[in-house]
Amino acid sequence: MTISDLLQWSTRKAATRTPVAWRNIVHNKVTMILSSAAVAFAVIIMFMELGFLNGFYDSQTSLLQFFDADLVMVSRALQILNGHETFDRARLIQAAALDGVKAVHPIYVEDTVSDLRDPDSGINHNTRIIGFDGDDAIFCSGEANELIVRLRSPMTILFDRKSRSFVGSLPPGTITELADRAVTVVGAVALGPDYYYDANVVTGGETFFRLFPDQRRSQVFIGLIQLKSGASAHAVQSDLRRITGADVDVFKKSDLVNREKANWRKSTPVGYIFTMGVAVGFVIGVFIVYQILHTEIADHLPQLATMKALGYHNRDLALLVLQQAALLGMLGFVPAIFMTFFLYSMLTMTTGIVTKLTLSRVGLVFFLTLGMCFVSGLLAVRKAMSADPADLF
Amino acid sequence: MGSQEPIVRVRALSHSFGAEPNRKRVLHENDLDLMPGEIVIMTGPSGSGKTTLLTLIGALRSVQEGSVVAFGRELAQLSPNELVEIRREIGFIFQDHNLFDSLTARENVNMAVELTGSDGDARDLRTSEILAKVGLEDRMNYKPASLSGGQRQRVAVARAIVNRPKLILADEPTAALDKDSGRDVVQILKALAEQAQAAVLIVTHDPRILDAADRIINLVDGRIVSDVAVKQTVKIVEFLQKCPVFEQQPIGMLAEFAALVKREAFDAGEVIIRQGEVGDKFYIIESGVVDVSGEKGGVHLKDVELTTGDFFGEVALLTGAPRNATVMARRPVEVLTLAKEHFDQALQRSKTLEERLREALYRRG
Repeated sequence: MTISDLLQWSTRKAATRTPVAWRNIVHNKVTMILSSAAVAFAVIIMFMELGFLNGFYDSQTSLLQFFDADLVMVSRALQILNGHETFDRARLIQAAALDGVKAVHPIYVEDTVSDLRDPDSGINHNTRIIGFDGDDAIFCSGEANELIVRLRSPMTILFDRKSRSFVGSLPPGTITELADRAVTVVGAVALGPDYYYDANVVTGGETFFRLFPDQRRSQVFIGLIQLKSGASAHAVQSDLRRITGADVDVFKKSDLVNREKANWRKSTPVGYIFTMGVAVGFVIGVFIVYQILHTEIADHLPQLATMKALGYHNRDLALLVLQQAALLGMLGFVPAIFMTFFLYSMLTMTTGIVTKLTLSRVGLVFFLTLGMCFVSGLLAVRKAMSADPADLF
Repeated sequence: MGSQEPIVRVRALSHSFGAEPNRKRVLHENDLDLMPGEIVIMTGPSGSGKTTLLTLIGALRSVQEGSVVAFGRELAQLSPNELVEIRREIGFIFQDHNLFDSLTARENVNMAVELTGSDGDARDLRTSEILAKVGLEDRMNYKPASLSGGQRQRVAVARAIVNRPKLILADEPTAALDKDSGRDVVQILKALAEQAQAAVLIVTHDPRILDAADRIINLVDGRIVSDVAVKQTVKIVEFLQKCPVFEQQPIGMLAEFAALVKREAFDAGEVIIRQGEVGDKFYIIESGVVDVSGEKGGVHLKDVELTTGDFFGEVALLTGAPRNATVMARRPVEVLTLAKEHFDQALQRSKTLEERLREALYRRG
C-alpha cells in the first residue's frame, strides 16, 4: 500500500466512521464555547508575542522595505539601520558603471539635530529625516513616488502619516519647523515608526542639505541600486563585491532585511524575550487543553471503558483523545485569529508599530497550536487508557 | 444440547485480589459450562464473586488459576491484543447503559458495527434493522437524553447484539427498568439465544426474569453452590405431578427429586433391569412401553405392560431383595431414574411417599 493509498483509505474511513471526537466536543455548547475560549486565550498569547516580535523586526526593517531597490549598498561598519555609519558616494558611482545597473540613488539620514515641531502643541519631536537626490521613483509605493516632484520646491517635506500620534498630524499645507527652520508639508507617505524613531520625514536633497549643513553629500547612509530588466542580481552583487573596497558591502534587499533582523536578534534580548513569551503561551495552552481533555475523559470514562469492552484497542482510544485535542485546537484557533486581528489593529493604532497577520505567521501559530494540543493529548491519553471495562460491572 | 460443545467452559477457576499478606480469594475452583442457545441466570449475594466471574469469562480480567475456554480458545494463553479480539465476539450489557450522550441511538450502535469493518450504507442498514428489532425504529436519531430509561437500555442491548455475538454477558440488565421494559429486554435476549444459538449469562437479582432462565446458578462466597437446569426441572416436575405415586407430593420435594433424577434411553428389545440383579435404581417411564416378565418358583408370571407415567424397580429398593422381574423395552423408551441412595433419602423424608409406594405395590400384587 502506497502512502497515497493509505491517505485515501484513512480519509475515506474518517468520512464514513462515527465522528465521536467531534460529537463529544460539540455536544455541550456551553462547555464547547468555554473550552474554545480557553484555547483561544493561549493561542492569542502566542499570536501577540509573535506579533510583538515580528512587529519589532518589521518596524526595524521598514526603512528598507520603503525603498524600491534590487540591491542595497551599506557601509561595512553599519550593523543595524539605527547606526550612523556612512560610505563614500564614489562606491555608488562605481556601481552605476556596471552593465546590469539601471540607476543608483544615495539615501541620507539625519536623526540627531532633527527636531520637528508639532504646530498644534508647539512641542518638538526628534524625527528621522530621509533625504535623497533626483526625481526618480525610489519608493515601492506609487503614491509616494508621485509626490517626489513636490519636493523640488525648497524647504518642503513629506510627512510620514504613520508616525506616532503624539508627534502631530501635520497634513499637507502645514507650515512648521524642522531643525529650527521653517518647512512646508507638501504630502504624506506611509513608512511607520519603529522602536527607535517616533516619526519620519522625507525630503529632497536640496532641502536636506540646507537643513543639515553638517551632512555631506559625499557620505551616503544607504545606496539603492536598481537593476536593468533581466539583469542578474546575484551576478551584479558579485561584481560589486569584487570591484568595491572593504569599506562597503552589497546585499540583495531581502538579504539585508534578514541580516538586520538577525543582528537585532543577536545584539538585543528582544528576540529572546518574545520567544519566551511564545513558549509561555505554548505551555499555558498545553495545560489548558490538558485540563479540558482530562475533565472530558473523566466525564466519559465509563463510555471509554465500554469501548474497550466492545473490542476497541488502546490505540483507538488514544486516537480519539488526540482527535479531540486537535479539534479543540482548531476550535480555539478560529476565534483567536479574529481576536488577534482586532488586537493587532489596536496595537498598530496605538503604537504605530505594524503587526501584520501574514499567512506564514498564521501558519506558524496554527502549527504551534496543533503541537500544543498534541502534547496535551499525549498527556491525557494515559487517563483514557486507564479506563477499565471490568469496572463497568 | 448435550452433544454440543459449550461456548464457554470454565474449569477449576479461582481468582484473588490484592497482594500478600492481604490477598483475598474471591473465587474458589468453579466449574461452569455455557451452552449454545442457553440462558443462564447467575444469582448470589453481593460480594459473592459474580462480577469477577463475569469479567473473567468476558476476557476483561486475566485468568490467574484454572481455565476459561471461550469459543474454543484458552483465555489464559491469549495476548492482550487477542483478548481484545475475543471481546468483539461477546456482547456486553451493563446495568448503566454507558451510551455516549453526544451520539444518537444509531451512532451508538454504529460504534459496535464499525468494529467489524463495516461502514457506510451496509453499517447503517444493519444498525437500522437491529434498532427496529428492539422497537426503536422511530427513535434512531434521538440522543440518550431524549430517550426513556427503557429505550436507552434497549439501545445498549442493540449495541451488544448487533454483531450477532455467540456470547452475551449481562449485568443487571433490567434493574433500572419497569416491568414491561425489563420483559422486552429479556425477550430480545431469549430470541437471540434461540435464533443465533448464543449463550446468555445474566447476573441479576430481578425475580421477574427468572422464568426466562434455562439454568439458575447460585454463587455464594466465591463458590457455585447450585447449578439448576430450570427448564429441565420444571419439565420433570410437571411429569412427576402426573404420576399417581407423586401426585400429592409437595412441589418443593418434587423439585428436589427432579434435580436428582437422570434421564436414560433404551432401544426396543433392550433389557432395562434383569430379574435377580441387585436393585440400584428407581425407574419412571417418561415415554415408550416396556414389558415386565418374571418367574417365581419355576412358574412364569403373567407379563405386564407398563407405559408413560408408570414406574418400576421400587420393590428391590424397598425390600432389599434382588430384582423380582425383568423389564425390557418394547419400543424405544425414555426413563427417569433415581439412584437408590436418593430414593432412600426421599422415603425417609416423606412417609406419605413410602405409604403410597407400598399401597401401589400392594395393588400391583
